[in-house]
Amino acid sequence: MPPLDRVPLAWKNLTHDRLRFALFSAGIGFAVVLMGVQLGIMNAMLDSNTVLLRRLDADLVLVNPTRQSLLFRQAVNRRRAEQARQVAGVASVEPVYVEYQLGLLRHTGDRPATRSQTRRIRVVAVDPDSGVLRLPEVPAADWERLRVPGAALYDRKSRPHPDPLNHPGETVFGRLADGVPTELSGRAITLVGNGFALGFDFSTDGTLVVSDRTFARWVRGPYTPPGADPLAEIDLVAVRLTPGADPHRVRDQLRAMFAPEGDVDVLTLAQLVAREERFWWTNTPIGFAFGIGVVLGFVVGLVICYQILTGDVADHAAEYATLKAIGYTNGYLNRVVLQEALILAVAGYVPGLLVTAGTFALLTDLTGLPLHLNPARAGLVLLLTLVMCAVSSWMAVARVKAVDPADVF
Amino acid sequence: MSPLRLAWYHLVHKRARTTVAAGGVAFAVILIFLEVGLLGGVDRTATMLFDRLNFDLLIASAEYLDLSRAGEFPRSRLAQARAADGVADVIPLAVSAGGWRLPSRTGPLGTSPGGEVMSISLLAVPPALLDKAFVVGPGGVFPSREEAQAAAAALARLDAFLFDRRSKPEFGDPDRLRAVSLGLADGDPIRLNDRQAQIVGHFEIGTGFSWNGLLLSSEETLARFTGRSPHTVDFGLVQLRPGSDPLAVQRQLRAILPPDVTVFTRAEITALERRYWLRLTSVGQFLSVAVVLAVVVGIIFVYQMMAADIRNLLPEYATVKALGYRPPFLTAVVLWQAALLALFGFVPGFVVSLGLYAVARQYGGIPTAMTAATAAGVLVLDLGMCLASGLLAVRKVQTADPADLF
Repeated sequence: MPPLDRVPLAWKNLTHDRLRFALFSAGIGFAVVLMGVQLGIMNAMLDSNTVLLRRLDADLVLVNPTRQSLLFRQAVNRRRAEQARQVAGVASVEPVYVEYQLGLLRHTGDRPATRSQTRRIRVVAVDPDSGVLRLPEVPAADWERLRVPGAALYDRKSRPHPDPLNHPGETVFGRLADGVPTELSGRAITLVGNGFALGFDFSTDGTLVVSDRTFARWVRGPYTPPGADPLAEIDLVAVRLTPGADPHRVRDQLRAMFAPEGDVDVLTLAQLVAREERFWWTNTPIGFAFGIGVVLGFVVGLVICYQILTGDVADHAAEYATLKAIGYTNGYLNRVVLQEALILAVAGYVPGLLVTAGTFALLTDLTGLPLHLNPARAGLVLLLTLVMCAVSSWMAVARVKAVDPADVF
Repeated sequence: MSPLRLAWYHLVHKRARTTVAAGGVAFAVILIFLEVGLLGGVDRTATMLFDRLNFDLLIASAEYLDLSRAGEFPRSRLAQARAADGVADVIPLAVSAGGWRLPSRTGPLGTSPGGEVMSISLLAVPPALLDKAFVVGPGGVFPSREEAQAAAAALARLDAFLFDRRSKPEFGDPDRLRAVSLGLADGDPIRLNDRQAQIVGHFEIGTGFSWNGLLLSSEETLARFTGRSPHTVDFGLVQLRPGSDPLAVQRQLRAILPPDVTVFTRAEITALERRYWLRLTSVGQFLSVAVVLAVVVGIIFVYQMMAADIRNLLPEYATVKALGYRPPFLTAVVLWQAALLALFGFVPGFVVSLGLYAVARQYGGIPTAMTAATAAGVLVLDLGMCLASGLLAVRKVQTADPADLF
């Protein structure tokens, strides 16, 4: 029956009643928003824990294989970093120190009630000239100022004060600004520059960036036995390759070199980020709490779409029966229902994604946790929507098959 | 025939359709229950530990933010507080965290080799004061005073810990951990922060968004495993003499103690902690958003169901009109139908939600609980959604013209 194939029957069925079509699309759209927002929140919570790692300028990273999260202490010995420097294809090897426990920052307020308070802060130390930490908000002049012992760059996106009405613009560490004097682990430091934006996460309220020399004297020195080098144990060794070097080949070479002792793992930055995400995924109920929302959004969408399609089939029972009576097969009717499902999927997805993007912007503004709608995540939601609608069309089609021309007249 | 009976016959007659519509309502109910339950889990996380500690007033660091960021203060503040009038005792409590090497375990998804490190929270109190520091009795941290005292005796040894039975299952089976420690069973030695630890008994608190599992030890053992200074503590549990006024003692303590500590009443710390978890943590904020989203999606969803259901009954309604029944009668029929569907959807939705809550507790470690308030709130919301959708849909019924049908 070729002539009808040129009639967009699915489209006409749906758009015949514009208002109902809009309502149907909104139904699917809400399922899209539900899935998109839950997925976005889940990713944002995992993303927030890897912001620092993603700011490293490194092709490969040497880490201790037993360190499942940056939060723990296991480190790589400086001798290993020196060994890595000898490997062909390695352009530079830069130590990055990250301290979660020993950095205590004194509250910057000057009232007696706050003057004595200290709070743990994450301290990150790099060679100021190395450029291994990419902080786009920090100009070269600020890195220059960091070379003075006792100077520290600060995170202006540190956890905000819990009472923002009475303490506007303050962090839990007090007011952070250029030139503010305070103490790090009991010794005087000065905050410099206009601050960078890393943000807080599950394990830390904020970050200071200092030079490796300041780090040695202020943070690790007091806990290092006399005569030992406080910088001997490196938390992350950032390896950059010479242009044209094959990262996989260099990685294999480094791995082979460190294999006998087994005390160094060589990861790409993406692998390191994935490892950190996995730790937080298994160590917090975040994946469960928001993953289940995605599943429910999918089920809700499935049922909405099924309802719409079966309703449509019931409404057009007479027409479908007529088509069958004049010789159209079940296959043709199946295709019509599937087409309707896919049209609904797209018609719901487009506004649903727009609302999702708006919700992301709103939530980022409200909570300070960055929600990103990247193509991969938008694509995943589209895929879920299409699958959801296709499955419900498959369920609804059973009703088309049952349509008997004789019943209708 | 009364409107209720007609509505009932409608629903019973079209059984398949009614099942689908009630199923739809059930999904909306489940969605709302789930998000409300998860948010309730955040709320319960906030006060889970404090609810199980005995104190009239709580001394915490001035930088106290939440349990994982409690902030330490000098132990000498406790001695200063003991000097105040009306104070019977001040018990030190230390809170810390460590890395627990997971044992190998066999679960429904196969065997995991273990060896990975998962973070576990550590509590420390003087063993002799164990039964005074924690709530003892049915539903408490220890089931009876005798058990608490037995646990205290075992805790006095170095490197000895009590293990929370309600820790996440990844940490290991509580009884097996104890058996391994006491040499009654074979297994990997228990390692905390890369040191060998002994599990000498159990207690019950539970998990939440703040921790995956809990260990309890003496302060000496905590100092050995974490390297923290024995001169600092995180909390002072102030217990008053009978008849003392907590507010008067609080004023007095605030006057004597330096500004590096704050003194909370139980109501104050509970309110502060709940506000922190629900309003200031990202998980609280996001789950609040998820609740709103679930309600909105639920309303749209129920409307879809109801509209479809009523559309299908239009010919019957038109017939009823043709027989001479007035519009208010039809409205009553539709509203009864909506109310019945709300109930038909609520019951399975409620039952499935109970199951989901259990899954969230067991596998997610989220302290969800079905309270009467939650159940009643969702039921009211469910009825409201269905009746509102019914009212919207009834306009269609009023326009139903008998002549169109024949």
